[in-house]
Amino acid sequence: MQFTIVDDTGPTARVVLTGKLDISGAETIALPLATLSGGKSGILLDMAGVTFIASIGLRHLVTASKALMRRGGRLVLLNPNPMVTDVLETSGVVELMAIARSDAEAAAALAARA
Amino acid sequence: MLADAAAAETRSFIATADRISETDGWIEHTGSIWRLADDVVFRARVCVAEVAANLLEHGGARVGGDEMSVTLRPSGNALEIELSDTGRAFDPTASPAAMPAPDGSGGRGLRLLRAYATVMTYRRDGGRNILSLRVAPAHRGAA
Repeated sequence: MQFTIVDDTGPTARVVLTGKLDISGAETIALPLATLSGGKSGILLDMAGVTFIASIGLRHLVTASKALMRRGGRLVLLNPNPMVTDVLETSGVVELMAIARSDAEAAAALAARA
Repeated sequence: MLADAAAAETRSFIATADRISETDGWIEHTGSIWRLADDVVFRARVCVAEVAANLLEHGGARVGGDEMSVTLRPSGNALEIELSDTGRAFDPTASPAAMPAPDGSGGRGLRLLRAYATVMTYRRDGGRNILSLRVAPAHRGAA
């Protein structure tokens, strides 16, 4: 799992996640995601390169989302693959974050503060 | 149909994060050798990850870690999985009231396990949790 911050100059950050968000992947993203969600008003997570996710990975997304929402911000997930999307929907975490299918959708979701 | 459809593969390990992650890679690899659909393998990996995570976080019964074993068996276009571990008794088929706090990942993990396993049977035998699962293709063309 790779956590790459591609832009954190503004109030919102853009991060690219690549690889398996399994138990080891979750350990990799825990600290950087928590740090970012504590300082930004929104995070766009590019999920296109995430090949696996289960509840341990979901937990970190939920924690980040709640931290952002407390300050009126949002976590937006960009282009998760169909199987990852199914996990997000089946587990119920979609209620706590937005899924965007394009940069334009993502920008709109980030602008629509909770 | 596969010539060795009766074949089964088993891995036993001490449930640590590294070994659980390694086992996930093994399931992915085995599923591709057996030419199972991507969504079947993916859902099977989610099921195993949820049971393993529960063992790691709530099930600890042994100093030095609990042992877990995973057996995979192809069955037509589905995958049968038997999970056996030495953790505290945990029956994911039991009523939700008996489950870990809904706020933790336990609630979400259980929801995924129940959604992705088309058949799930549990027994406690010789101090071990034994969970049998069947994961069949989804009807959504995700593969």
